[in-house]
Amino acid sequence: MLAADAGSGALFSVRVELFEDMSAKKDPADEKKGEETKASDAAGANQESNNDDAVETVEEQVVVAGSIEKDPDKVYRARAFGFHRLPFKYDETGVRELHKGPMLFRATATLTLDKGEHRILIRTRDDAKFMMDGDLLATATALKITADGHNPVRDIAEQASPMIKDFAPGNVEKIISLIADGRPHTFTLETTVGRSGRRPELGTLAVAIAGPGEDAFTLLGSDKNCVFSNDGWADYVNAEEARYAVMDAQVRRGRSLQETRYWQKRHAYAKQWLGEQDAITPPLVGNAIPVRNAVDRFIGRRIEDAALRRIDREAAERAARSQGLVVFDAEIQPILASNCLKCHGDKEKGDLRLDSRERAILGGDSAGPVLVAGHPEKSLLIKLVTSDDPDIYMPPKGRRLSKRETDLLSRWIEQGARWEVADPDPIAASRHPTAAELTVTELLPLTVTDDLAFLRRVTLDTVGVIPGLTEIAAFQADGATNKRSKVIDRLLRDPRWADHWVPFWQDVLAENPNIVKPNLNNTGAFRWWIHESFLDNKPMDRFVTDLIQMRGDRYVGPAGFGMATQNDAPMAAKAHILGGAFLGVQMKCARCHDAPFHSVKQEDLFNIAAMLERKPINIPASSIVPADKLAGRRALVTVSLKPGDSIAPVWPFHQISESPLPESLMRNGDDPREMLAAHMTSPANARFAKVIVNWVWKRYFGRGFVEPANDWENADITHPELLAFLAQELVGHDYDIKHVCRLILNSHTYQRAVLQKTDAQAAALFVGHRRRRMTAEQIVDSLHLATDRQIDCEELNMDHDGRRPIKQFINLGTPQRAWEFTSLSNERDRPSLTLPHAQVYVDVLEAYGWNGSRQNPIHQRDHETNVLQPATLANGIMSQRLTRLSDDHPLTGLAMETREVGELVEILFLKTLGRPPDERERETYIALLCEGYDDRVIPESERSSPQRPRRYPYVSWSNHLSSEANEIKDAIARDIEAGAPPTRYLKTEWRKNMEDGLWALINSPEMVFVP
Amino acid sequence: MKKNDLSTRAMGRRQFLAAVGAGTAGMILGSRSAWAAKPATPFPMGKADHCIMLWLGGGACHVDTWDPKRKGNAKTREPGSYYDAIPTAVEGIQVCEHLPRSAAIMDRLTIVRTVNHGTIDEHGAAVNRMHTGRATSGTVIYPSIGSIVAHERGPGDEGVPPYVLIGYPNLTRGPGFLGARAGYLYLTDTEAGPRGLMPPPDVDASRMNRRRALLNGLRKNYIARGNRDEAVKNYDIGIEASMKLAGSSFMSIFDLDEEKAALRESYGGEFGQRCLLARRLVQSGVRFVEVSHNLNFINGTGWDTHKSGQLKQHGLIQELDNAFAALILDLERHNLLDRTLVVIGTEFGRPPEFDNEGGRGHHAKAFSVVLAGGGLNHGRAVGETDELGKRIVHTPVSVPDLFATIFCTMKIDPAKELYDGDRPIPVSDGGVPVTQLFAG
Repeated sequence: MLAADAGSGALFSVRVELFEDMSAKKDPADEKKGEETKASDAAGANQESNNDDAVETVEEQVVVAGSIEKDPDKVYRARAFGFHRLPFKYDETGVRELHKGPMLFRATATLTLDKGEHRILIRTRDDAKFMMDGDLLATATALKITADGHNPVRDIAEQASPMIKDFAPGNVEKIISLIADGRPHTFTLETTVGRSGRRPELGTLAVAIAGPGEDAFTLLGSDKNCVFSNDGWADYVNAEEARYAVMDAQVRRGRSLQETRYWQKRHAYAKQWLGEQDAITPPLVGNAIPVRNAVDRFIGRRIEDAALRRIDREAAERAARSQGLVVFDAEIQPILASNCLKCHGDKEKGDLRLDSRERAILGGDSAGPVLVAGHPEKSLLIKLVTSDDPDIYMPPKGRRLSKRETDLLSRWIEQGARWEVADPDPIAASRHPTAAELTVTELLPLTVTDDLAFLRRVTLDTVGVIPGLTEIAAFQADGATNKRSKVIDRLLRDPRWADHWVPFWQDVLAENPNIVKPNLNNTGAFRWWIHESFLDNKPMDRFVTDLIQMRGDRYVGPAGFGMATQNDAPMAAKAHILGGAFLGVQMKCARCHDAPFHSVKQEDLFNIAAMLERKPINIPASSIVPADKLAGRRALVTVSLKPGDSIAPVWPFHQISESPLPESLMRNGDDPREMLAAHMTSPANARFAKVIVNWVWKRYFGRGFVEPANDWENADITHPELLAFLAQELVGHDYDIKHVCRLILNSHTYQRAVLQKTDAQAAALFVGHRRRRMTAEQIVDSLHLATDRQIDCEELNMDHDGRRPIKQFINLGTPQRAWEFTSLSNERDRPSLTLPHAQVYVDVLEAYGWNGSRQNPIHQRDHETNVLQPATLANGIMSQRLTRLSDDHPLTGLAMETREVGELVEILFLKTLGRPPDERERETYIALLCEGYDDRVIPESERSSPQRPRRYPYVSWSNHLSSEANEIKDAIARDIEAGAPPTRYLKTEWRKNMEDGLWALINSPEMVFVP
Repeated sequence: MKKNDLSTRAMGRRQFLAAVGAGTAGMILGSRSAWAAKPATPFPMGKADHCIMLWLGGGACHVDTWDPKRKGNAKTREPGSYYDAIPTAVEGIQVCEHLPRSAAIMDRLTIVRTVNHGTIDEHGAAVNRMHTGRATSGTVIYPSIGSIVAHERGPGDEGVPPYVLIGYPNLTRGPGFLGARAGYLYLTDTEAGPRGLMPPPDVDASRMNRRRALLNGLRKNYIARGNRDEAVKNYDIGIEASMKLAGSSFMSIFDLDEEKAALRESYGGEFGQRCLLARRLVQSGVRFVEVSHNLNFINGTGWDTHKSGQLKQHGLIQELDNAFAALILDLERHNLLDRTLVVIGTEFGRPPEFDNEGGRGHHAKAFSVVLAGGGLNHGRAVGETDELGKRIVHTPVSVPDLFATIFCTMKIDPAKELYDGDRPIPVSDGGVPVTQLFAG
């Protein structure tokens, strides 16, 4: 443990000891009760009273200092007596868990103070003692705050002293005077943390000192280097946080060495297993197909097939036409597709489907044959498309069919309504089409996109944001022929890689934490574990095994995945999620009955649920569709289980995985969870690796080989060979997802220019790249990067002063990246419970399809464009903050720097759109900015004095039921809406021009698309 | 203003097609008719095209508002109402003394006094219950009543959204499985207007024009450089539409200064202004408006009157009374009342007992919801509670029944099935409307 100490010696004079589980009274009965609670918690039950008025239980007491009989659970060093959080704790698999409260926190340092009178200031959230050489100098007592929300708002005057950092919510302060003798003494700070089930948070824990004649306080032990002011503390915390992150990562990796060795064995086995399988060799392709790696061969072979087929078909069509026959594929299908299928396809308006001959002949609600082969006059289709009656004609909206089209339909029906569908199997290619043939059939793969578009695409796809100026410059300056591969390698090493994977898994795994008391299907915040897993590039089989094992703590680790509050069968909900995410088995229906359109039985789902539960599950009555609800319903749904039936923890999907792992690789074969994880992730599982690879492909191309990606049962796989090949690559390379990504990103296929035409087949063949709109997170993060702004948000927490147990209030911290946000759903409708800063971002995220609440897994976000999206970017508060040049806006500083106006224009375009302006744009923008450019900066002597932002007392759950708390939040919301005042440094007219130019850039459609 | 054009036409089309089918070709396949035929709804249908739901977040105390009982004493903790009762325009119906204006128009109202459900502990779950009309389930995210109305009726006019929320965005007010199209447009403050649609105040018309000129240049250039795939085109259309919306007649709805000062004053404070805005929204074709009465700065707790929250509860009641009565009369003046159902909803009631600081806990076994307008037969109280308002004496109205009543009033068949993917979900959870409101 000591090995984890990052740094020691003079720079880190403070030694911290952490003693966990220090409850003073240890009643065996209590302990037992604790166990029980834990068991039911683990099942996700949330039976505790959620009454907002709950009265706090008696405060848990902590063993007093001096009488500690055990060694500290953790020892580390700090730079000074300033502590913003505890270091994280990890179990032996490297999974995060919470420190076991209540804890005693003790910080000690031997220091020499200058001779004379010093003032010493102690800030703490919980009871604390400060000692010198073991003698008590001061005690600080935690605020007396009841837990019920009816506490008064604290007066701001109590909190503010201009020289000293503002109070953190719930903190108390003690100032004492100390006359130092100029000799070394040992100073000790002790406090309790995480009492009574509270989050193990420190608030702001600090001891600061002001020496003789000094006004400012500095952190004790910092050699007067860390000023205890708002800014000084922020700087100190930033530096400490960076150090803690390194320390945490070291501990995480160090603790799990044993586990890592196990996975090395697993991967050796996977390689051995793979060696026994038939290797999939990439097919040969003709010269017309550009090839950078194996991916392009598989893709190219399919394109060649399709091209040859198009050539054949066109010949057949010509023949048919020469006989006067209507050709379904070429002449009828397009009419149906563009006029009918939008409603009479999947949607079955009026129960009618026109996507197969059988269904069309069957007709719909209108109870007539839509299609009577050979008899257009009896076919309702013809009647409706030719009618003039606005009450019946089809299509009901938009363009009427032309005479030519209706005539074609009539002739086609007359000729027997033949419905030829192309053969989906690949033809045995006897030859490779030439480039000319590919061109004629419009299937010639597009060339690679230009360098800057590629850089923007690959940066967004890997690290989730647009490239910055330095990244663009470095890429442009690189003359190497493999510069794209180099960029890909750099991006795969970038820690932001993890930031971009978190939102994906949040959706697919239905991560759904709630900062206001758990509600329906809330989970723990296992986002942090996802993030760390991808920071560490955890192999995918290990990632999924961790998830299934639900280890660590439910509030921070994958155990949080195991939670589903207010759900009658949490593990069934989890089985449904795992099935879709990793097996491509859609079990949504099976939650309450046997699936009507799938082979999955309800029992299968509950088998998995029981494996997760590690014991048989009795089917809750509420998880069975009652028989009377089935009566009269289309007899599609069957129920083969009864309430109370006991379902065994056995693996149900033998067609997917026959036998799990060799005995030697099972650590505890009796554990149903391990058995489940083994079945899910073993190399012999025919699905797992393919499903993972399919998700990756879908992320990079906007569509998977299998769609929907979470439901493979009836799927047409567009590229089965490539899918199998990439799956083998994953299995054969230690389940390292980066290996597969590297292959894909280096392919010509990935790097192609965007396909402009609407040609569904060409798109499905990946002839060109399909343009994707950025995800909500990419938009928010990229816009901040483009404008050098940080997300400005309050802590995502309702219990800022840390008074309530963690099982009621979690703390999601202060977001730096968009994935860190969560639903702010304020079901209580109280102004005092709003988070007005966060709401600004959540509005934008939600407009672009992000879901703050994920009660069910999301395999595909809503991609539809709606008017609120551009409107929010145009007028919303986030955009106002990004485009208004205030004193603190980094672009104000940029605008003030000396440079040619043309250079500024160039920088603005590169920062936002990732490319230099073209001639016309350059002219427009220079015209916009050149007027008044030379004297845009207001001389220092003429600047007005800065306005101090208004400050408010804190509002937390503990005081939110006071009138004032509601008024404060309303006032904050109004301040945010007004935004920071425009800068005093730039002349108004020029500033407005610059702001407007910036506004137009970030509102350009180009901004929000992955090029 | 043209209303219902689309929906009636769509309905006509469907009926007509059914007739054509039967007439020309009576060749329905036997097996199909069994599952295609749906029994006609047995429920009475109302006349309303719009609905305004005033939401009293926190759980409004029914015995202190619409279902007064003998007076209790908070100090001695003797159970009962906190206020005196007063007579109303309808003989035999009394309400709390702080509802005088509503009392005067009792003939236009119905108090449903026996709404009940079993969710009391948790506000979130109860709010969900009273917005979705059913208990939660682990697998389906149910749509709110506003979203169902939006989905079933669509906007009443072009260029307006079907569903507007004046209050905080939350999950239970959302569209659930119906998807974003059935979602709400929200605003939290009548002064500021809907979030994201109003340019910031420092962007005046001339700046806006300059911004648009610059943006239009960038757009044109982008498309001219060969970026004309479907995704870009759609987004570009979205930009165009958002620009139109920003300067459109829809946005002028939010300009309450267009109303006469006397009328604005009659509505009262911020909640009243929200109600006035609701009328304007309805008038312009919005189908469903939820107006949150969350002015917690009056008493701290809002309607969740634990402890000292009880002391100034009358401030909330008076504010509600004022705005509600003004809304009803204003709708009437605009000939909108018969076509607009106004609902006063809340997540649960409160017990007649007092807690140790004179406030009240939660009570869901019986509480009141008020209906007004919408062409229903009003001037009555539906159901009766016992002498302290704790239990139902007769005519219980379950949450699904209440919702079925609202849906029927809004010409939506409560038995109709919506689809969450393949799964059929009825509009109301087996509810039966309160038929006496429709009779005659």
